[in-house]
Amino acid sequence: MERETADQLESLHPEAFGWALHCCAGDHSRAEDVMQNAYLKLASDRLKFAASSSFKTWWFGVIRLTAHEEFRRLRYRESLLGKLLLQLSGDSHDPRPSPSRQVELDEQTLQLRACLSQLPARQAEVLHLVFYQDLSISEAAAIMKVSIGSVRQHYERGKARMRSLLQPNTDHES
Amino acid sequence: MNPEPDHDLRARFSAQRRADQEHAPAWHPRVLQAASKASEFRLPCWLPITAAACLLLSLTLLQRSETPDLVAALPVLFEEPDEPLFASLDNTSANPSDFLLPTYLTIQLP
Repeated sequence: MERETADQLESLHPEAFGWALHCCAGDHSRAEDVMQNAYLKLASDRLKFAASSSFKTWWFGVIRLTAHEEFRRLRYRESLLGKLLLQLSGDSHDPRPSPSRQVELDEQTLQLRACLSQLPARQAEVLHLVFYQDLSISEAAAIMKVSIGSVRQHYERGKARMRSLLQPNTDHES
Repeated sequence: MNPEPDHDLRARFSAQRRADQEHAPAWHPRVLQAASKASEFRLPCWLPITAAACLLLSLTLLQRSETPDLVAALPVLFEEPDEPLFASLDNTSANPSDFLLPTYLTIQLP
């Protein structure tokens, strides 16, 4: 791997992990697996950056795809056959965050994550990319592989829904 | 001065980003190097298929060569008689009362 690519990956690592965490619905261990798999894909030359977009946009698209693959794998594990095989192999995976991790996360973060989980996936994705990752609408569209118009619609609807979800809690706190 | 639009949401997401980044795993570039080295020594995809085919073929041949000759392996159930079968039977079967029969009714065995 080229030195330049490695440097870019290193500088993007914390933000990329935040995106992986969002793609895995806040599951820390799954997000780590997703990042690991994405790095392995890149290192084994299965992926090449084509320079048709920015490196960050491309890399976030890879992470999103890898997270979807991981989700499908998890769904298989949760199926009847998968459970049977897991029992036979003696391996198990709990998708919930560990109790120590839950304590580490503050209440506001958990509340935001809970509200995001109530939004449709595309709305939650665009809000995360714009507000958390400070990306533009067009960059979010490139990562999500949908048109800018569609992303803008998800963005507006997501914001309105998010505010309505956060509002009662804010009133309760004050 | 206009406040920044969506400031409320942006502030919440920023807080979440800070919390996440505190617990993000450290960057380990060794993973990338290890994978690159592993990919250099990757076996060609036809090799396991060919190996499996060879193994299957050799097993089939081995099994075939180990199969015993059934004729030789089976015990002898009937010994071949010295005389021809039914030699004791008289072809000219003449019974004591045959002389009473008319000539045309006398049965002649071939």
